[in-house]
Amino acid sequence: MRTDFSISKLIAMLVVAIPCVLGGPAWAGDSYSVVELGALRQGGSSVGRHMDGTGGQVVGSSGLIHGSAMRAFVWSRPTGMRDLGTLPGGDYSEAFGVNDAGTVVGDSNTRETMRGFVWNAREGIRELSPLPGDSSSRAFAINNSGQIVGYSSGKHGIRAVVWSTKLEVRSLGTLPGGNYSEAYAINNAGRVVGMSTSSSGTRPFLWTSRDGMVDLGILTGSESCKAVRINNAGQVVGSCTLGSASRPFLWSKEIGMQSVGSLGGKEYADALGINDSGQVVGASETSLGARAFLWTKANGMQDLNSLIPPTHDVLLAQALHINNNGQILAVGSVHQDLTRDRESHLDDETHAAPLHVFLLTPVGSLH
Amino acid sequence: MLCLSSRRQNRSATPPCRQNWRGLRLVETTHSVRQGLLWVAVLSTMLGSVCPWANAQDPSVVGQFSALMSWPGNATHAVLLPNGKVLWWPSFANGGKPQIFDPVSNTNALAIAPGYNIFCGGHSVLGNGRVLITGGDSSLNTGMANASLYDPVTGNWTFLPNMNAGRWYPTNTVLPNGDVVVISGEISPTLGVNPLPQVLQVSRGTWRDLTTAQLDLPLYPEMYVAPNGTLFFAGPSQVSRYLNTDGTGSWSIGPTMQYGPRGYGPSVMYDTGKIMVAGGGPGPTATAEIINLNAPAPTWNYTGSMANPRRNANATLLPDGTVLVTGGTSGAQFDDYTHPVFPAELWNPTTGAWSTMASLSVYRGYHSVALLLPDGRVLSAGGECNTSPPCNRNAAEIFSPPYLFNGPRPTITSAPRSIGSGQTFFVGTPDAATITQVTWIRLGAVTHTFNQEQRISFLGFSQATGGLNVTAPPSANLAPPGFYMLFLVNGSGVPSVASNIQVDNPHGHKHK
Repeated sequence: MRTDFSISKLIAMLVVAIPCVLGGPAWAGDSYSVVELGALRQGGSSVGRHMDGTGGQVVGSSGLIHGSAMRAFVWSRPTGMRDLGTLPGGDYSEAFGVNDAGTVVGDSNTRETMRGFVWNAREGIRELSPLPGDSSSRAFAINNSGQIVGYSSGKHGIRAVVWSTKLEVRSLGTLPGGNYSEAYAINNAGRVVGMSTSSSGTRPFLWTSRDGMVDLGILTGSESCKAVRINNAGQVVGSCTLGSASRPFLWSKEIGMQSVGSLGGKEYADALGINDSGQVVGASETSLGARAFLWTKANGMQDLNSLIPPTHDVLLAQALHINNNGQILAVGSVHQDLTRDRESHLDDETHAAPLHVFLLTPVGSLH
Repeated sequence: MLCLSSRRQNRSATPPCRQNWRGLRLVETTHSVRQGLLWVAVLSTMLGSVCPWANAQDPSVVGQFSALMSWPGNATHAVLLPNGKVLWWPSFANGGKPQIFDPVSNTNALAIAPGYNIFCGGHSVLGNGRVLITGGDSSLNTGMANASLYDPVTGNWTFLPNMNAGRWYPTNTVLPNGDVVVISGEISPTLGVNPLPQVLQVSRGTWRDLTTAQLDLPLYPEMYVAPNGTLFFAGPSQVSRYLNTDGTGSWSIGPTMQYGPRGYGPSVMYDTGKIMVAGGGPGPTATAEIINLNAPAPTWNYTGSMANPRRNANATLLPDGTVLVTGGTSGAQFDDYTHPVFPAELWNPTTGAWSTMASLSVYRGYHSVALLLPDGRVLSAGGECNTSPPCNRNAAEIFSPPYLFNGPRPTITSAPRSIGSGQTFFVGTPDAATITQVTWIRLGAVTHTFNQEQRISFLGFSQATGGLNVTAPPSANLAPPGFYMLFLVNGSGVPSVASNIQVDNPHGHKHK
C-alpha cells in the first residue's frame, strides 16, 4: 500500500532503526522483513548465495566491485560478515554452500590454480583435492551429512564430483556422449544435480548412487538446460536456453519438466533456488529490468519487490536461495529515494553500483 | 581558430572556435596551413609571455576537444574496424543494437543487429579483420555463453558454438598464432566467475578448453601477450600472473602491484613488454605504475602520478608513444559523477611525467570509451550518467592531441596492405627525411576502461628512395596477427594519418 511520501519515510526510518539493534539496516513489510548484510570492504560489492536452514548463517563472496580482492564470507547476526580468507598463496575465494552445521564450501585460488575448499569454525579452511591427476577443483554445495559436490578439472577434462564426508573425491561421470559435467547441488539423501554435455547437447542431470547420472530432459522448444538446485523432496530447478533467451524450469519425478514462467519479460528468467515446500526463487527480466521473483504453486510467480513495502529504498534484482523457513537470499541495489521512482528502470543501479545482499524473513515467523 | 591537416578536410568534425583570448577572437582563416601555423606560433608566444594561463588554452600545448556530437546512444563498447570506421554499441537494453560511426563524415548508421544483447561482452579484431564478440548480458547480470563474428566487409554476423558457460565481462586476447583466448566473465551470481579460459581456434571455429588453467579472476581482466608469448595478467588485482596457453594451459604467479588492487584503473602496453597502469580504486588514486616484462625479474614500480585521482578513466596509446588518459571520477563512489575529472592528461613514457591537456565537456565515467582513430585523434564517448548538466552520455567528442597543432603532417603515399612478421617493407612518403619515428598501433577494442586490443610497436626504419624501408617486429609475440595503424612521426612529433596494415594473417583472408 503506498502512503504519503513524508509519512512513508518516517515509517521507514522507524522500521530501520529498531532491527538495526540486532543486525544491519532492516525493513519490515507486508510479507517480509529485510536485512542488508553489508560488505567486507567499505563500498564493496557482495553476493550471498546460500544459507543454513534457520537463516542464521549466510555465505557468499564480497570484494571490490566486479571482482578484485574477492573473499568468501560467512555472515551471522552476532558477528556480521566474516572473511574466510583463501587457501595458501591465494588471492581470491568464493563461498557457494553451507549446511546446517555451519560447514562452508567454495573455491579459492592458490598460487597457480583454483581448488575447492571446505571450512568450519574449528578447522578453518581446507583444500578439496581434485580427481587423481587433475589440477583444480571447485565445490558448490554441501548437505547435512557433509557430502560435497562440485567439479574436478585436469588434462582429461572437467567432471562432476562428490567428496565424501572423509573428503575422498569420486567422479560422477557424464551423460552418454558427453565429455564435460559439473555438479551444483546435493540434497540430504545424496541426490546430485548439475549439467553434463551429451550426445543431445547440454542437459540437466540427476545423479543417484543407484541409477547414476540421468538426463532430466529439456523444456519443449529449448536447446539446452542446467539444473542448479534440488530439494529434499527431490524437486529440481534450473534454466533452459533457446538461443540467447533463458527460461526457468521445475522438475519432479511425477510431472517431469515444467516451466514456471516469467514476470513478463520476453527473453530472460532463471530459477535459482527451491525449498522443501516447493517454493521457487529466481530472477526474471521485466520491462523495468531484472527483478527477483518468488514462485509458488498456489500464487504463481510474484515480483518479490511487491512483497516488501514501497517505503524503502531497496531493489531486489535476483533471489538466489530460499530455505525451509521461507527465508530468501536476494541481491540488488540500494537506491536513494526509490519511493519516488520505484517504477524506474534501475538496471544501472544494480549493475554499476555495489551489489548488496538482502536476507528476507517472512513477517510473523520466529526469525 | 586554425584547423589543420586532416581536420580541415572534415569541417563538420572541427571543433568550434570557442577560445576567447582576452578579446582576441580567432576565426577560421583562409590562410594556408603554413601561414596559419605561423600565426599560432606568434600568438601563442605573445600570449604565453604576457599571461601564462593562455598557454593552458593553446591547442599546440594542451590539444583540443571537438564540439559535442549528439549520438544515438551511449557508446559502451567501441571497436575500430579495418576500414577505419567504429563499431560501437550501447549499454543495457540497447546493447543488441550496434552502430557504425564514420569519423570522416561524422555520421552514425545502424549496423545489422546480432540478434542478442552483446553488452558486457568481450571483443577483439581477428587476423582476418572480423570482430569476435564473446558473452554478453542477459539483463539479469548473468553472462551469456554466446559467441559471434561480425564481418565488417559484409556487415553480417555468424555464430560460433557456445562457450562452456556464460561470460559477463570477459576479456579477449589475440594470441601469436591468431587464435583468441577468452578469460573470466561472470556466469551468474549463483555460480560466480567463469574460471575456465577457452581458446577460439579460429580456423576451425571451435573452442579449446584450458582445463589445467582454472583460476578465479576479476571481471574484464587486463591481459597482454608478453614478449615470450605467454599472457600477462596486469590487473585489476594486486597480484599479477602469467598464463601459458599451450596444451591445456597453466598459470604462474607474477609480481605484486605497489598500490593494491586498481579497480577500473586503465592499463596500456606502451612499448614492447612494458605496461603502465593509471589510477583505479578504491580511492581512487592518482598514482601510476609501470612494469617491464623484458627484465629477468619484472617488478611493478611507481612512475609519475597524474594530477587527478581517477577511476573509470580510459587510456589510449598515441602514435608518438605517449599515453592519453581521459575521463573518470575522483569521487569516492564508484561512478561518482559529482566529482568528474574533465581534464585529460598525457603521460610521457620517457620522463614518466604527466601533462594536463584540454578538458572534456561532459563527465565520462563508467561505461565510457576512448579510441584512437586512424587520423591520430581520439574518440571519447558514452558513459552512464544521464543528468544534464554535466552529463550527456548520448554524445561524443573527439580529442585532437597537441601534435595536430604543431605543423604539417607527414604523408604516406603508399604502404603494403599486408605483411609478415619480421618483414621489411617499403612505405612511400615525400617526407622521409623528416621522419624520426615509425610506429604502429593495433586497432583498438575498448570497454570498461580496458582496451583489449591496443598495443604499439616502435618499428626500425631506414631511408630509401621516395620513402622508407620499415621492418616489422620479428615475432608474432610482439605483434599478434591483426590490423595495425602505421604512423610516420616527424621530428616535431607530428604523425601522419595512418595506413592500415594487416599483419601475419594465418587464416587466409586478405585485406580488402
